Amino acid sequence: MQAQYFFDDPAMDGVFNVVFALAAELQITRCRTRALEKLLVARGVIGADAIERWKPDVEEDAARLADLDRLVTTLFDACKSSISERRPA
Amino acid sequence: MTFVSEDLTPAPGFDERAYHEFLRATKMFWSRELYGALRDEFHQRGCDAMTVDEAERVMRQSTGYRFFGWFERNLQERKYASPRGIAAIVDRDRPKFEAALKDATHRGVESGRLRLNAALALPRYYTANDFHQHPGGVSGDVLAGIAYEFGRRTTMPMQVDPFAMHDAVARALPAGPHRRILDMGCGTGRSTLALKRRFPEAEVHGIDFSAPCLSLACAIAEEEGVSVLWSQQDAASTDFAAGSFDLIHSTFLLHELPVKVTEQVVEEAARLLRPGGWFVHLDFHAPPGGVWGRFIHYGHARRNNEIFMRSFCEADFAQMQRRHGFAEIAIDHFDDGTGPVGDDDIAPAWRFPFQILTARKA
Repeated sequence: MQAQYFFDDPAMDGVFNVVFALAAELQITRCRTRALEKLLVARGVIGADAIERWKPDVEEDAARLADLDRLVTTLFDACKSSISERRPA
Repeated sequence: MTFVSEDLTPAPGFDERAYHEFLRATKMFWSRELYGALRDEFHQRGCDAMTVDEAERVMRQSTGYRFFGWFERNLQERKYASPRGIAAIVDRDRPKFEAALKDATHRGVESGRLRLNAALALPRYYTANDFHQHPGGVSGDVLAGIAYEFGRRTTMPMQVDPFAMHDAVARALPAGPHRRILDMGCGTGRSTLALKRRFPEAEVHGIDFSAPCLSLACAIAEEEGVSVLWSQQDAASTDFAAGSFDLIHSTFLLHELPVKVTEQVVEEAARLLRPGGWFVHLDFHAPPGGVWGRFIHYGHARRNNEIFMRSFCEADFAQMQRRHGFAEIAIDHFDDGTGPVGDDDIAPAWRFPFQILTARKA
């Protein structure tokens, strides 16, 4: 099946492919976490406001922030080379 | 939604259901918000006074149109071919579906309700194009009918019940009595079953190129207790006797044919119908809404691999039918219940420009 492009630069189509895929994955994850939270509350495992009131301990907070750093690096690491290419010789 | 026995109904998992829900919600946004904004821009750019090709050239500079096109093309592609698409969902249960279809096919053939013809040569115009971006088309895989039936449920996002439309079309057909009815290009048989429900005394035949679709049609009819005769045939050249039908119908067939083949179908229908017999189709021939209507519809066809649509819309179908002895030729708007069309024949949200094309053999 022949591909169709909608932007002057096919890279733009590619970028929007990525954006759309991310949006879809986000929605799927939102659905799962919503279902999980509802099930846990319904079965009395946690209270309805448990997530809002949750405060991670020091160890969990560090692990959580390290995970966030990994995500940011994964997402934006590719930007480094284009910036360094712009440096004057 | 179970459309036939569980043995033949795809079972998407949680993530897949969420994914298709996301695609459908995005399609609804596209059909309302993006369509509406595009319509305004089209008008502001003065495209209503242009030819459709001039309008296309102008609008290609529009960022809004680029995104409109991207969404139309890519939502459909993802629906079928992405890792969570219909093809993957259906393929996961391949052994179960193949076994159930084999059983259903055997029962159909043994009972005489189903005639398949493995020697039927499928024309290149049919096999070389993935119509509607359905990978491999509707005959390329034994499970293609199941995939098509599953996808059909969300082809028109504004429709609540995608199959109710066929009953509405059947109710709009010329009153009988019709002793014998032929549904050309019947696919998985939803229109054929509606014809039988509307005219229960008639002997109803459904023909199609696709053995996978016919096998599933036969299984659905068996499950619903509706008696229809299915056969794998070319609508342009059937093995039925001349003058043996009272009504010949098709749904979304004609615009998928090269124009020269459409004329062959018209010629065959003229041969098959008794004098006074009816030739009626649900299809798209003269999109309403002026230049905008044609711009949107031709663009849709291009983005959805419906490569013969424009040539059919621009053909003189009325004259084609007159050449083969048809009269009382009419084209009427068909309301599928998804909302009114404005005074300028422009729909407030994207929709198919359904029409009923009618002719009668003199």
